Amino acid sequence: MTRFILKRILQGILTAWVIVTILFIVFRTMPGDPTYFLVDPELPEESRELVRERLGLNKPLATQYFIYLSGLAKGDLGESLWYSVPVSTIIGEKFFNTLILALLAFVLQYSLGIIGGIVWAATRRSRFESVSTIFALGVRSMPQFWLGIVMVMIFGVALKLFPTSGIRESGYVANTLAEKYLDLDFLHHLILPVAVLTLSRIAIPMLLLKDTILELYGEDFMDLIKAKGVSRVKELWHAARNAFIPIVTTAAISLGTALGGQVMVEVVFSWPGLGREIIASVSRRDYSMAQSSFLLLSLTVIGFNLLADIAYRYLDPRISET
Amino acid sequence: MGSQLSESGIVRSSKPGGVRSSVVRIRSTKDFISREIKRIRQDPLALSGAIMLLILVLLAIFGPFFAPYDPWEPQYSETGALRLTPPSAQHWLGTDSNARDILSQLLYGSRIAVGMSILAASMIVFIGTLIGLTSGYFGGAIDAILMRITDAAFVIPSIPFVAVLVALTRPSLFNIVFAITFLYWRSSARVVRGQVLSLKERPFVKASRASGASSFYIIRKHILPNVLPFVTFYAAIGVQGAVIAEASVSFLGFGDPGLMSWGKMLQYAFAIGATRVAWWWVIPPGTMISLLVLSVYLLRRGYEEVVNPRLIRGQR
Repeated sequence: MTRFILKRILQGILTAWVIVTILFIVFRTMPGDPTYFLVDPELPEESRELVRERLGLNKPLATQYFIYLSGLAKGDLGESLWYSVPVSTIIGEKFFNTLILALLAFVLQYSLGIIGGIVWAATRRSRFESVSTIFALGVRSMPQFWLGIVMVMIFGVALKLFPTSGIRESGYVANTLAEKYLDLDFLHHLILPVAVLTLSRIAIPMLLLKDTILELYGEDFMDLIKAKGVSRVKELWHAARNAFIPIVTTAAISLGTALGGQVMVEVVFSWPGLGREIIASVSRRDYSMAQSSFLLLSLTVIGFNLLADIAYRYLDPRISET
Repeated sequence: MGSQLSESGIVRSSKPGGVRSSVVRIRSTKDFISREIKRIRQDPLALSGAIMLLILVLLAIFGPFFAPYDPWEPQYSETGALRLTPPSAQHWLGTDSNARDILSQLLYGSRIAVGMSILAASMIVFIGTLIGLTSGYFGGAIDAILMRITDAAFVIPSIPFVAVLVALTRPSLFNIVFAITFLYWRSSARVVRGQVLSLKERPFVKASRASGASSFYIIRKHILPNVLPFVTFYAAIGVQGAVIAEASVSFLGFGDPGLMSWGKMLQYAFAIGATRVAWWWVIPPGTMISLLVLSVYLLRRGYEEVVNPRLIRGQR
C-alpha cells in the first residue's frame, strides 16, 4: 500500500511538472505584450524595453524557463505585473476563498445528494421516477453561470433575500482571519454561490445512487433478503450499502471537475477566488498571476485525484496499477 | 488512475480498474446502428431526447429563415429606439439593450450552438479514437508516452484552460473549437484504449491474427465496430461539453465578436447589468442551452449499460 502511495505521488509530481511546462509555454509564447498595461503608450519604445528588461522578458525563452523553475522550487512565484506585489502574498487568500466555496458545496452536494438518492430509489420504477429523472437532468444541464444569474434575479433582486455579489460588504475592514470569515455578513454572501454550486451538481450523486440501488434490486442477493421477509426500508438499506462504492470512487474526482467549473460561478458573483483571478489576470496579461493561479488550481485537482486513487485502492485492492 | 468517469459524472465503473468489455460482439457498423435505433425506440427517455435533439437541429438549420428581424439591427418605433422592451406582439421575446430583437438572436444562435458542438464533438472523437486505437493496439513505448500526456491533460481544469487559450489567441469560433478539442479528447482516448486492450484478447481477434490478417484489417473490421459504442458515447459527451464550453467562454467575454451565440447574448446582458431585471433576455438563451444539453443526456442515459455493461437481471 505504501509503495502504491509513493508511486502515485511520484506520478503526481511528474504530471505537475508537465503542467508547469505546458502553462509556461502557453503563457510566454502566446501573442500579447505583458508590458501593454504597464507602460503608457505615449512613452518612447526605450521605456518599454527597460520594463521588459527589468522583468526579464528579453532573455531567451529557455533561460526564462529555468529562472521560473528555480523560482518555483524556492517557493517564489514571481511578482504580479498588475498588483505589483509578490504573487505569493495575494494568492493564498484567493486560494482559501475558492476552497471554502468548493468544499462547502461538495459536502452539501454529497450529503444531501446521498439522502435524496436513497429516498428517490424508494419510488421504484414508477412514472414519477422517469419524470423526476428528466427534471434532475434538466437542472444538471443548466450552465452554472446561467443558474447563478437566474438565482440572483430571483433571490437577490426580486426577493431581496441575499446580496448579489462579492464576499462581504465593500468598505468593511477585515484584518484577522476571524474578522474575515467568522462573520455573519460573509455567511450571508456565501449562501447564494454555494447554493448554485450545490444545486447544479447535486444530480450526480442522486442519480448515481438511485440508478445503482434500483439496479441492485435485481441482483441475486436481494432475492435472499426479500425471502427473509424484511421490511421495505431494510430492503432499501441493504441495496444502498452496496451502492456506496461507486459514490466514493467518483466523489473525489467530481470535486476536481467541480473546481474547474467554479470559475464561472466566481465570475458571476464576483467572488475573489482563484478562478476569477485566472480570468482577470489573463485579460490583463498579468502572466505571473495567471500562471500561478492556474498552476495552483491544477495542483489542487491533482491532489484530489490522488486522494481518490488512494481511497479507491484502500476500498478495493483488486484494481491493477495502470 | 483506475476509474473511468465522464466529466458529467453519471457514468459508473462496474469493474474496478476500468471498463468491462462488452459481452455482445458487434460485427459491423451497420449492426451497431440498427442496435442503437432499436434501443432508442424502446426507451421513452431516450426517445424524448432524440425528438428534442431533432427539433433543435431543425431549428438550427431552418430557424434563421424564420427570424422576424436581423439579430444585429436596432429596432425603432415612432418614439425612438426600442431598448430593453419586454415581450410584445412585434417582438415575441422583447429587445435587448441595443434595441435588437431577442427571438431573432435566439434563432441565429441555435445555428452556432448546434453546428459548433457537432463539429467539436467530431474532432474530439476522431482524435481521441485515433490515439486510443494506436495506444491500445500497438502498446509499448507509444502507449506509455501517449498515456502520460493524457494523464496530464486530465488534471487541467477544462473551462479555465479553454478560456485562457482563447483569450491569448484571437477570439474566433475556430479557436474556440480548437481549444475545446485540445482538451476534451482525453476521456475518449483513455476509454477507447481500454476497450482495445480487452478486445485484443478476444478469440475472434486472435483467430484473425492467426490467419495472418494485417493489423490494419483487424483494426478496421474487428476492433473499430466494437469501439463504436464508446465512440458515440464520448461524442455525446463532447457535444455537451462543447456547448457549455462555448457558452462559458463567450460569457467570459472571449467569444467570437462577429457571432451572436447564446453565451454571447448572456454576456451582453450580464455586462450591462440587465440580468437584474430583463428576464426576457436572460431566460431564453440559457433555456436553449439547457435543452440542448438535456436532450443529449436523455439520449445517452440508457447507453451506460452498453458502455459499462453489468448483466442486468430482473430489472422491473
